[in-house]
Amino acid sequence: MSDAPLLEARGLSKRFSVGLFGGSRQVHAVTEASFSVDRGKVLALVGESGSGKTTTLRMLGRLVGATEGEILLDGVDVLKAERGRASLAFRRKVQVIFQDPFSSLNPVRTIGHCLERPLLIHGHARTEAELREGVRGLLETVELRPADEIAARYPHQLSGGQRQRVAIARALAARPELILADEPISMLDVSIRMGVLNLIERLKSELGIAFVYVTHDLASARYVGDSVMVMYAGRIVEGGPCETVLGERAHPYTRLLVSAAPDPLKIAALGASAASEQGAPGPATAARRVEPPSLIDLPPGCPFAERCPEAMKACALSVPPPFDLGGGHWARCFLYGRVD
Amino acid sequence: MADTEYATGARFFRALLRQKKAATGAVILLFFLALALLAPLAFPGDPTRFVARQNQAPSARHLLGTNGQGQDVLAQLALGARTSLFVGFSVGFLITLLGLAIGMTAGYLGGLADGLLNTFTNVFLIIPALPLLITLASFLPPGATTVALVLTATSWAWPARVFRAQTLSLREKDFVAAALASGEGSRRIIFAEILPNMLSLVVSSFFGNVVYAIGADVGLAFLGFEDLNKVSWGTMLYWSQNNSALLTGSWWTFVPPGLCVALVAFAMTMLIYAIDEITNPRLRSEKEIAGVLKKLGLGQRRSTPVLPYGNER
Amino acid sequence: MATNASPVLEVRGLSVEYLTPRGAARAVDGVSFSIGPGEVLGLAGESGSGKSTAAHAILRLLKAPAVIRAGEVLFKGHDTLVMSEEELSSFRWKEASIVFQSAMNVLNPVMRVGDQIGDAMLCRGVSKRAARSRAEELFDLVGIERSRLAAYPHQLSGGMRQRTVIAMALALEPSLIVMDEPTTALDVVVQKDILGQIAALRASLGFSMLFITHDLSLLAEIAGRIAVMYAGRIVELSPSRELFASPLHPYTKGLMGSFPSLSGERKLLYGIPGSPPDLVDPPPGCPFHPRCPEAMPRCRDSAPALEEVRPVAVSAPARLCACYLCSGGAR
Repeated sequence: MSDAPLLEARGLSKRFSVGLFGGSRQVHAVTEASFSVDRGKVLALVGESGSGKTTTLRMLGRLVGATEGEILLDGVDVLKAERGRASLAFRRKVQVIFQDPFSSLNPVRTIGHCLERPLLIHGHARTEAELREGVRGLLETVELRPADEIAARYPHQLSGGQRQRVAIARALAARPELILADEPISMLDVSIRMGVLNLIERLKSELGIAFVYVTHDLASARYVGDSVMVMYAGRIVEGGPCETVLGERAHPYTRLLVSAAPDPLKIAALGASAASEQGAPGPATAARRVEPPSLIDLPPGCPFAERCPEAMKACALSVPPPFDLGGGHWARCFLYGRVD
Repeated sequence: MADTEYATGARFFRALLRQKKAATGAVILLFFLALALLAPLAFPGDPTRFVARQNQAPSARHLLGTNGQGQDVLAQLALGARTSLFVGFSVGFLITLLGLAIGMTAGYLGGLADGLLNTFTNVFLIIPALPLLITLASFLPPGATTVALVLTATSWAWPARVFRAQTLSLREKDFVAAALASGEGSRRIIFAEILPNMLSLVVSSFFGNVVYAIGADVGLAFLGFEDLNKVSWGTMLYWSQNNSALLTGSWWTFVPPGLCVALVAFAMTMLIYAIDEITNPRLRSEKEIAGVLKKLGLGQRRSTPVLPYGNER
Repeated sequence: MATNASPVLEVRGLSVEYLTPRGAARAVDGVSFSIGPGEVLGLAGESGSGKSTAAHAILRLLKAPAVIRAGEVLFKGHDTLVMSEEELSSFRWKEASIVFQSAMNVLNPVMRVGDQIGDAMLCRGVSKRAARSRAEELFDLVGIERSRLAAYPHQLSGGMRQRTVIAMALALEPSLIVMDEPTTALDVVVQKDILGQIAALRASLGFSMLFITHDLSLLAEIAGRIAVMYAGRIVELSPSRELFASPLHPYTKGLMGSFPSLSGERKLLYGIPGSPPDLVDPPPGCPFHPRCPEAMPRCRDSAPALEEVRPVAVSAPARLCACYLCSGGAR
């Protein structure tokens, strides 16, 4: 294994035109996303709805085209090398898991069929026996037993958690090096979420698969992530090793997200000090905006400036570049530097 | 989720046969198909030949009497079924096929291809079909094939729109994106991933199109835009009208063909309803449950009914 | 704290079934709880646990094929299950109101929000002028500018829409508000803001609240007591501090092990194996036993009742648990 990153995104942007007649107005879904994914590591991408995290993931998975930017897989700019459709070689290396396990499996196909297809497409199995063996192996890898019985079922005969495991098995069928997971647990019941996260962790450590884990939930990002990036209004505002970012919370938006996340342990730890009375959040401040700006008319400066308690004059004028905070930790915030 | 349970072919048709509505529709339809197939054996010879006095009421010799030209109505009805059903089924099939091809291509490809195909479809949608039908039918050489082609050309647009809409919504499903991410090609995604999910829509659209085609064929013939020497349910009605059957009171010349058209349409409609109920089990269970609640005196409430244990029968 | 004053709401043995072609699904199975004046009771459970069904049944908001099969719902002593349609329609909103998960399903997209709040009051005999000024008051209360009364729902952000719905629920000063996952559709920052708003409103107006959520961790900050539901039953009912500090029921314990934390060390969590049961054909005995790490043979034979667990100290508040592990006294 080399030290070079498995996948690298450089200045990835996605804009959609809206309105009648092709539309002169543009939605800036993702703006200049640059980051890299290391082999066998989990990169968590955290953001609220509309932050562009899912669009970023879909660009990486080449399910939507990028408006600008490069995607380097093993050092090769795949957007340039394979114009239009992604090659089979790319698909073999990069697989996707979707948020809604009720929509990501074809309802009229059996689980077995849905796992056989990628095995066939990528040439990992040819004969009937190889296929059956392959499907059984995949289902056992994702801890679905008895495998033969599960393979004969239709998606609607499985629970949400089982379906999501099938979706993971399908991604594994190609024997990928990178799996892009789009909020894989957010539609699942709370009690079965950890099982799926632990599976991701296991696939990483046992099979050396790298993951990009997209989520709105900081705590789950901390649970599986080696590194984390925080997205706001289409931009990645902070990134770095998970513990450093969530511990230091350099960007004011990261601080806001962390403070807003409900954390039962914190309250349990308060113990006798009357959780329900004192732990209650303070009275709301009506005057301050609590929602991100429209992605159609982005402000010229930092998109978070109008909500930021530490906003300075510079923030409204230009978008802060990423400032290095050491140890791979960086933040796009003028608190950490100045451009002249 | 509801519409997925029966969506695979074999299970779908088995479920269809368990339905009372479907069974009724199927029996009627099979009867007419048998009639059309066996007609040349049962009524050999030319149905347009003169067999008895004109406008004879039904009798043992001529079960449905004779028409204004002294032809046997029953023989015409049976042999006419061949023409009418042939036009109906072939046009139904062609419309559905053409609609699928154009609608799915537009819906799946999107972008420019969709723009062009959709505009093309819309043009055909707003062309007034009846005048175009009449114009085409009167310029082309008469015959069942002409009628079939003319009807297909004027009526594929609506199914195409329906299929396009369905394809558009299915294309956005994650299982299509998942297939793409797995490395499936476009053709397989369209035919193996999207199409099977549209099966019930395709089948019920086909039945609807058949009904439409039979009706349009009868209408064209009745207006005299078809080969009037050829026997079909439509031409039977044309001649009946031409011979002032209403004035002479010879109802047996127009009631049987009219009834046949209505029965075939009824059978098809029953099949469509049955498909609806199978693919949307809520329709059926809602009806059943409404019945149960009504029996208990709890029907039509705005608030949650209270039904203590022991009160049900 | 709820047991001293006479409760605002007392639910006893409530059972609700959905009649389906496959048979009756027992969504709520003998649920009992009470809410005191000004108290917040959290009702937590996963999808299919019956938490929303129970809450909607209390206000008789469910439509057939849901039917209430047993129980009493005493609201200040009056049983809503024997009320006529007329009595119910004056009971709802005036005495008890509900805030739904999705504001967009509640608000009429083609009506100004101010008119919608006003209409809700006009229907219940408030004069037009009084309704107008009340609507303004309500917007002040929930922290939206009065000028926004003239806005259409789509012109408001998700958070403001949910505030509007809360304002409507407050309009007639009910003594109980049912919050049915009011923040589930919102992002965490907005969620925190709305929760703060709700807590502040309750503190100043003093209404009681039944707060339904699938996210136990939200309740830590807002509920005094928490009832945890599983497969239609309440399996544990404890003051929230005690619940988080020392969960009694194996299911509650499992839930606690399902939330990764933002603080403290990163440790392996396991969640709960298996998946929730089929309510049409539930497992025999305790519905949780197939997933329970501590299941015993007797759990398969009969379901344990929700019983009071003898407190360690006399002064400790009462805790209820439906588990054979708890019924033998101290754990």
